[in-house]
Amino acid sequence: MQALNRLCQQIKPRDHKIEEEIKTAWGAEKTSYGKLVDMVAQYGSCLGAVNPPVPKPCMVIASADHGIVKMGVSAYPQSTTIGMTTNYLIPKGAGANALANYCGASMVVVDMGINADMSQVPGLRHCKIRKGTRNFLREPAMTEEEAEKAIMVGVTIAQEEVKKGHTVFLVGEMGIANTTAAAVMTALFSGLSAKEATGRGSNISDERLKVKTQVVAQALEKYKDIGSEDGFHILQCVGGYEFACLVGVILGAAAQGAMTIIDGFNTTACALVAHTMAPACMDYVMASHLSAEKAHIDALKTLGLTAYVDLKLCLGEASGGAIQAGMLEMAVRIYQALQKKEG
Amino acid sequence: MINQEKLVTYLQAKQIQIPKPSKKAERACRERVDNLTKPIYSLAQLEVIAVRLAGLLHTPKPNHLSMGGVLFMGEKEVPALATKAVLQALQATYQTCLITKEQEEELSWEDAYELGKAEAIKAKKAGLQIVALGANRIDRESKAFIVMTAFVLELVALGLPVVFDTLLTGQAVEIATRAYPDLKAYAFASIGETAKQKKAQAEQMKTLGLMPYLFYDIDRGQGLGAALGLSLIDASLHMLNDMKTFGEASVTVAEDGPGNGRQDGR
Repeated sequence: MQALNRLCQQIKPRDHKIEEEIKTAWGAEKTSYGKLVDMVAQYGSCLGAVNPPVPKPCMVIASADHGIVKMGVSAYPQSTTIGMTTNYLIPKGAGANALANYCGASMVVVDMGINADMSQVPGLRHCKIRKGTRNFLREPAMTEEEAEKAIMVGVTIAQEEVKKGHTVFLVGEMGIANTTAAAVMTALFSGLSAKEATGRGSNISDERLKVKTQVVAQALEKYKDIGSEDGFHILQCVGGYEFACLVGVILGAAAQGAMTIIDGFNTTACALVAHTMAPACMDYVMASHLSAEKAHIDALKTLGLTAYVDLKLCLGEASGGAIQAGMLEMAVRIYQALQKKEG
Repeated sequence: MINQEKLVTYLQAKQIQIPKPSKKAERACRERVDNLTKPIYSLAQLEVIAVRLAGLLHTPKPNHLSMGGVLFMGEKEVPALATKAVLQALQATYQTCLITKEQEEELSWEDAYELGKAEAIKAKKAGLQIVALGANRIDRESKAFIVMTAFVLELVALGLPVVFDTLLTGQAVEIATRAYPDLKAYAFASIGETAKQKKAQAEQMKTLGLMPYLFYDIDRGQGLGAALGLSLIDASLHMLNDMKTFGEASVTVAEDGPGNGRQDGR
């Protein structure tokens, strides 16, 4: 945990002086631009630049399988994790690909724990910790060592991609049954009941939702003694390897002065973990959309964040984050146009 | 002062034909969207936008659209730098129509209507396929408002969808829709209004059967919100054109829920 603790200590608050300079630079009519001003100010202050460049986004999609899938909580079989991860890299026909194209993001796709041999998939980063987490109703999903290792994978990805010039990370995930894990996590962080925290995920039937809600309730009972301030152990006990990776991306990006735009329910659960490990990292986190997953609004509230976009999305894969990235780019271009005029 | 009811009656007397969207294209688009590699309906309003555009453009899979912003300005020219920056980023054109106070005094209702119609024809001749509507210093009670409303009506008559943003541009759409209810199919919302206008916008959205998607508390007009709305149109078209179906990508379809059966592995 030493490397991880050191990293968390490296994360400093963003430069609020630059933030105020940017806000002032919008001019006398700045209030008419609303939150576009705050978005550019946050982005510029993360980078330490009064005149920040147009964002260069990197979409990180982490994939992994979940032992809890055996309880029958998803609309899709576990093999869909394999198919979709391959889809990101070979047919390139997933929502993540389409919306990465929309906002001009490059993509990093990483196997953090898919329950299959993925060695034949070109372009996939192979960082498999284990072939899926354990069934958290029986035992913790991960060991502490596995959780830490998975976080550090994300940290390394962030470090490498910042070196390539990326200024914003869009975090997304793929893992059948992972909204069950996110529901338990969110409930432990936000004090929600199983019914309040459990949504339809991959658009499951009413019968399957009943099963899922029961699974979440049992998990909340089993892990009720983990405090909401102990994000690492919440992640370790009921999270996923892909979630851990994205926690690492958030922390790693913050340590490098890069921003992360979170997506929906699952990545907000990752942000809740990162927040407990290094509260200052939230200076570098921007919300995006309000997921149709019902407990997302509570998760955002717990972090003190408000969504900017509401398209009723419920996909994950950084889809909402990509929309917000597109809007951030527009906001920066507007700011640049106004500066040019003033200059 | 413009009387709303009189304006509706005046517009109705024009007997404009609003082209009907193609239900066949909408159905084909919806079938494809439902079979894209995602849980069914999970891209929600992006899917709705794509299906609506398919119907309006009479093609199941509309691709890149030629976009433009049209800004109606009352009193004087404004640079609208923010709107222009967004339109430029989208490779969209920018068209303006200035109606000064002096010009307004000379305009009859018929003149105002013809002015709006001319701007619609100009947009169509420029090859535009969708327009972001903007307004700056247009008085709701003025003849400039008639110009803008006529523009909306004639634009839709030419088969072009329109993205609007503020309460004011929404009112132009609303009046045109009251005269011709079929016009509703061509209207796309974009940004949520600020707190002081939220309630009024909610009523307007209810009337039009629409919802705003972007919440940045922008209080600027000038078509800035509508231009950002064009970006969402772009996102929707990326979804429709870049995503593959379960069959095309060799991914297993849903075994449960509404996706089961509807997603047929094509």
